[in-house]
Amino acid sequence: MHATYTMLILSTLFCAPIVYFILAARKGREIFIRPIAGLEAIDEAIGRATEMGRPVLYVSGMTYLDIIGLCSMAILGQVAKMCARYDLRLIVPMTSYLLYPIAEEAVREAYAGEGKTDLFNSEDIVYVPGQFPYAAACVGIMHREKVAANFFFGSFAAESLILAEAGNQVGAIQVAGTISTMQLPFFITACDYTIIGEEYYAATAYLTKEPTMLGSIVGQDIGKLTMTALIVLGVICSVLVAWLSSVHSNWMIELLER
Amino acid sequence: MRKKLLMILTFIGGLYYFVYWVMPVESRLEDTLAYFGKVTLVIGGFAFLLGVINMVRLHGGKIVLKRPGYHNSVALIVAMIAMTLAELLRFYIKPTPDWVSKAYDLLFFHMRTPIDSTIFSLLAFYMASAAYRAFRIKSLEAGIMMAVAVIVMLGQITVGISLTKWIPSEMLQLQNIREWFMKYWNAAAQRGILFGAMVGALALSMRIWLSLERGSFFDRQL
Repeated sequence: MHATYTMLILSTLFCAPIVYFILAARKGREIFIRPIAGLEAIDEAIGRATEMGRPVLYVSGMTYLDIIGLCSMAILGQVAKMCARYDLRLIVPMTSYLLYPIAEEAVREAYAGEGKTDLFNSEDIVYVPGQFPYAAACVGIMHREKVAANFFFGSFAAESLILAEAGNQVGAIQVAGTISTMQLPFFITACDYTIIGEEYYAATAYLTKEPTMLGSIVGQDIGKLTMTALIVLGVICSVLVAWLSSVHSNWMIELLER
Repeated sequence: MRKKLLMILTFIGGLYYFVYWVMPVESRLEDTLAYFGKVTLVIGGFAFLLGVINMVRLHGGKIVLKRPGYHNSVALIVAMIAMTLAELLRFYIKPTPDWVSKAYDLLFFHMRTPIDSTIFSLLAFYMASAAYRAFRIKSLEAGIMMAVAVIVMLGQITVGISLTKWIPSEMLQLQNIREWFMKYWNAAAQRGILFGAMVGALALSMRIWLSLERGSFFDRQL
């Protein structure tokens, strides 16, 4: 796939605010992000697991080495850091062989960063290839280990409801985040908190509260506003074309169609 | 120094794909894309080996130490070896002997596929239990959602379609009302969510490309 001139212009329109606000945040500009309940609940879930003394399960689903997978691993790093802080066991089943070493390294570094290297167990990062074998493995882990908190961050398919309902059966607090619109209804029904769409990509920025990353979130919101304005402009132009074609103003139609 | 090197390599890697996207189809970069794809596959092969080693180490340890449930690990290791051998023999021995084909069919089509279907079938029961627990008409919005859900469900089945087949105006027939909901309301909501998600993906991609992402990959900002 190659870019057209329109795509280049649109990409510049989207990327320019992101770069601008990142630079503005680096210079010390105050950035405000609205509270996101699902991301605030991660602390609550880990706190609950600490009180109950039961492990935490992080499920990345059918995620492979793409932008969704990298975001999932970044969130895993933050979750692992919090688990290490409270001496919690974190179990991470992985279905992607490409993401598996990244997950292991992320959890290892998180525990080492908190000075809890002895608590890290590489056997808790489990490689389980295949969609339904993965779902069966996660359900088995939930029931055997009696997990207190489940985090579902990544790409999910048919196994999403199996995972979420099994978590409900063991009484775990569940936080889910995915951009897959087909699986969101299942997570909304079965999980305590659900993170939708762009909130998933904002998660690492929100959890770390780094000014540079918060700046990129503001930039992406400006990009969305820009596109909304272009959509409204396009609708107005379409209406004008339809109206002007009825009054035979050819030069105006050509200008608008360009 | 190591982190600066990582930053430079990340930027060059991302720059290659950006330049490939920007350049016209006739550019010389077209030939290099397949080459880099093959490099990625080879690196992926090594990563796959790490996963297999993890599985063997985890389950082998359980078998050796006879931890509770080690018989499941025995079954997994035996199944893994059997499936690998069947596929390797099927791939390398040409023409494939009959017994190899039968062994492969037995393992894949007559054992693995039905087990997959069994796990998939749990979805039906979980869907019923989730719906029974979650769908409560506690507010006006919940009531509207329930009404629309009933219309959409009835509009998809023969019984529902036959309920309104007698109505002369096609607009008022269930299947058309269902299509209207799905085509305009549902599609608009899904596109709105996806639109925001794609812009978010663009922002995250830029953060990773410019090494501004914070987390397990970069323990501090560069």
